[in-house]
Amino acid sequence: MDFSFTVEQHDFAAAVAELLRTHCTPEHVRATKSGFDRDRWKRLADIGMASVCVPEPHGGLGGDDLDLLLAVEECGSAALPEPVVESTTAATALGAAMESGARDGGHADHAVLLARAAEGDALLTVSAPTDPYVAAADHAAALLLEREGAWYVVDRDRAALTPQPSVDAPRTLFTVEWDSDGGTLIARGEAARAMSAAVLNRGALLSGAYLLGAARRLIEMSVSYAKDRIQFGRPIGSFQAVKHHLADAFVAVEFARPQVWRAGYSLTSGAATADRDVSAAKASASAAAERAAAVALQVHGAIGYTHESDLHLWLTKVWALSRAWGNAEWHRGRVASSLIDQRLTARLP
Amino acid sequence: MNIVVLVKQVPDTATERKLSSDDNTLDRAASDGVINELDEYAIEEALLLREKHGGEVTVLTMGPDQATDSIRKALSMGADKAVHLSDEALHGSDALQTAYALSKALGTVEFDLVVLGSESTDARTGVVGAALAEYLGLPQLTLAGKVDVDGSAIKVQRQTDYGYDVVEAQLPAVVSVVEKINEPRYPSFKLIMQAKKKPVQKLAIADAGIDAAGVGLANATTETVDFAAAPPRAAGTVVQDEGDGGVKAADFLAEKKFV
Repeated sequence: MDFSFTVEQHDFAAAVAELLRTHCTPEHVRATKSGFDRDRWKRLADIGMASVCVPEPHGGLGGDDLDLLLAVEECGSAALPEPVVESTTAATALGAAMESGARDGGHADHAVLLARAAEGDALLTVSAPTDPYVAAADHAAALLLEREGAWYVVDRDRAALTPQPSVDAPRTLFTVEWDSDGGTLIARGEAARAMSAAVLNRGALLSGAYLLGAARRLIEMSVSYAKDRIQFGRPIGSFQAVKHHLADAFVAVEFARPQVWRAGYSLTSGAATADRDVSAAKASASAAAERAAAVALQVHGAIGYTHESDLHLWLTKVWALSRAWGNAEWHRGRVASSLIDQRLTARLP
Repeated sequence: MNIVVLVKQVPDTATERKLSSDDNTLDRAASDGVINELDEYAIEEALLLREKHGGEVTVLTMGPDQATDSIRKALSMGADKAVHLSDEALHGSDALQTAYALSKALGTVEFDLVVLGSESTDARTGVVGAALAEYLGLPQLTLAGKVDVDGSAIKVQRQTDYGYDVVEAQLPAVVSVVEKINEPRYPSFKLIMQAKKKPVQKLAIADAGIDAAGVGLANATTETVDFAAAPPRAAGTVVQDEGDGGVKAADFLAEKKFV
């Protein structure tokens, strides 16, 4: 069996990377103070970024998570400010809810909403079951929110948003208050539980892929700096205390990447181990990216703390996303409980 | 209107490019192949003309098997089909022979317009478009910064050092384009998925009626006699400013005839 990515998946990632090289330079990222550039998002949507996982009847391309993984890694490598993880997760969840028929009214509106999201004309976001705040709610046309075991689509204008501090300022965070009559039910009962699991897994998977890209870029920048920066008459990268740190961070990222790919495969193929595989991936990706961020910060002599340093753009993305959608500890706990449960089950008569 | 776009796979300009010491031709294994950057503008212009006037866009490339990567890129941008002229006998062909071979390959395709980039980033001769037009006996409109087609008439703004000339001709014609003409689109997921289903016709020289004596390294009209790596850049002169820095700078510029 061949598990490698297809030529088409590589080509799509290359197209996204090429677009971002031109339209998402560090200068662009720094200028996107609000966290959302409509023109760049539209360009990404034009090549399919917002519609890959949306079902075909709703203006999407009917692809799956594996079609997105490499492209999302490229978004991380460019420190893309737009909420690609949340919007993709929200659009996929809404598409799935409509496909399964687990809906209760408001169908026509949702079809329009989803088609506009696929075109890049409207942004969707979703509350992560692990997190207290909703990311990018201010830029979204609609929010997918969970309440008392049911999922709703809430019009942004019908919700009261209260800004919350965010370590990555362009990644805006909000507490959301809304009246039940302001939301439209899309899933309840068993369907809602399935949606919660799917949202959590997809958000964790895609933020893991984004973190891989950001970590890769942080290490590239640091290696290049360590070769240029001269101290004691030689490049600092020639000192073991510097290069071993960088090598360790690199190894951590390389070891996390196949776990993220495996999680993508498990999720796409509906494997019984999907929850565990996604959590193993997010735990590894979060830990690897945090390590890469710490090493990059130190190798650069802490200049990355300043807003003026390009490094800062990637550091804050890593600090935010390594904790969002469940941090490494939370996901290690989920891996552990799945293993322990299995062992207990196996011992039962 | 049926348009043929000529594309060439070249070594990535971001990598170190090498010649092979065996026969002084390009060492294709030494760096990754990518589509010639200027050809992307030609593809974009062809797609824009198709959107306006209808018809089909066919990609034609001459090169070894790896050139399929560039064909796929062109199809992923939206071209309809491709012709791949590939034959061991073509190895080492120079610009003139390439134009001859392409003119024969074009004989197998119906077209109203041929569009190509103004030069390739590897050889940079910039003559294939002109030579091709000669072989085909068609008008050549080179260095186009703007293209307008009206019925069977074509009008381009030909970029010059001082501005542009307006050049007109009747179709069919050969047009080469410069970078400022448009902004090439990025391949989309949808077109990438469709690209694998688009027809790619493989041609050997016999299929195109190309005379083996007219192509290949042994018959080339130009020859690479020798090559050497560019010498490393010499260190500059450091001038200590002891109050006379301005004079020294002016002397330096005067010596180099800048002032």
